[in-house]
Amino acid sequence: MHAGHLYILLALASYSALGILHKVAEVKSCRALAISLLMCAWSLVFLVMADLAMGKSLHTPVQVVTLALPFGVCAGLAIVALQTALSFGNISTSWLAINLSAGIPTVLSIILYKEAVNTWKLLALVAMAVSMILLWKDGQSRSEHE
Amino acid sequence: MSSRTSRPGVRWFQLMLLACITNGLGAFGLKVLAERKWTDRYEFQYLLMWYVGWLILGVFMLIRRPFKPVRREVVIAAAMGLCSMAGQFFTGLALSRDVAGHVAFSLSTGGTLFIVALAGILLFKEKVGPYGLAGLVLGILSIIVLSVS
Repeated sequence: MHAGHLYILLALASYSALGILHKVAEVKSCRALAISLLMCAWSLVFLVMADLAMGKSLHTPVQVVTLALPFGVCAGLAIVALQTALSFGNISTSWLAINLSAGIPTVLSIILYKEAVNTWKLLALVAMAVSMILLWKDGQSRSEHE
Repeated sequence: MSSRTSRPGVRWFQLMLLACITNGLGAFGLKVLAERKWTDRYEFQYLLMWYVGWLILGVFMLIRRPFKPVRREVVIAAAMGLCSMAGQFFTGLALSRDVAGHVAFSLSTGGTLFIVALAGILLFKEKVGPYGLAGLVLGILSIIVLSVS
């Protein structure tokens, strides 16, 4: 097997395990804020270790700090919302909904940076919106049954 | 909270909509970094500060609602942090070994969605209705197409 393909499989296994662990945390009655905060703290520890191991500088210009902080806040809010949502719904559809967020940077890139839009990209964005509507309908029908 | 929003499915969708929008915004910072031609010099520092932003939010919420973490939360969160870092690390390695970006991202994202959905249904015995199933199939396809296009 080509080394690159092996790495893809490892990435696939890692991200899948992450999704499953979100559900495990919910099943084990872990609190959403605790999971978000601790996951962030551990990621920071791993990142600093990796930075130091690779001899990278930790010095960060102010412009990079002011750029990164609000986007990091958004990401933290996303994890708290996802982990809280899991007590009301399925991991299968929740994991899809969080991954549909790929459409947001795509749309923002088109609007703010005038990135080219081809037919396939447009079709994918429309399909993402329709998929979210279907998930909303799924949530509504589950509510009616409960 | 109104009786409408207290319904679990509706509450779930509201929270997931918030998660989807904020997660997408969180990822957009890397695009801004790239547009400013800072990725080569400051990607690691950016990621570090990105996590610090996340931590600040967590600490702010912790002050409002203090809690003491229990061991299972510490262990599961450590495994989640490791998986998240490993996913990014292996995707980066694959890209550096001449795997095209559209192949790497469509396989890792589409495949992950499929595996997690399967695990939800088989391991956790989740019930997904017809709308949910249709949403899953369309969602996985749309993300693959977006990665390839």
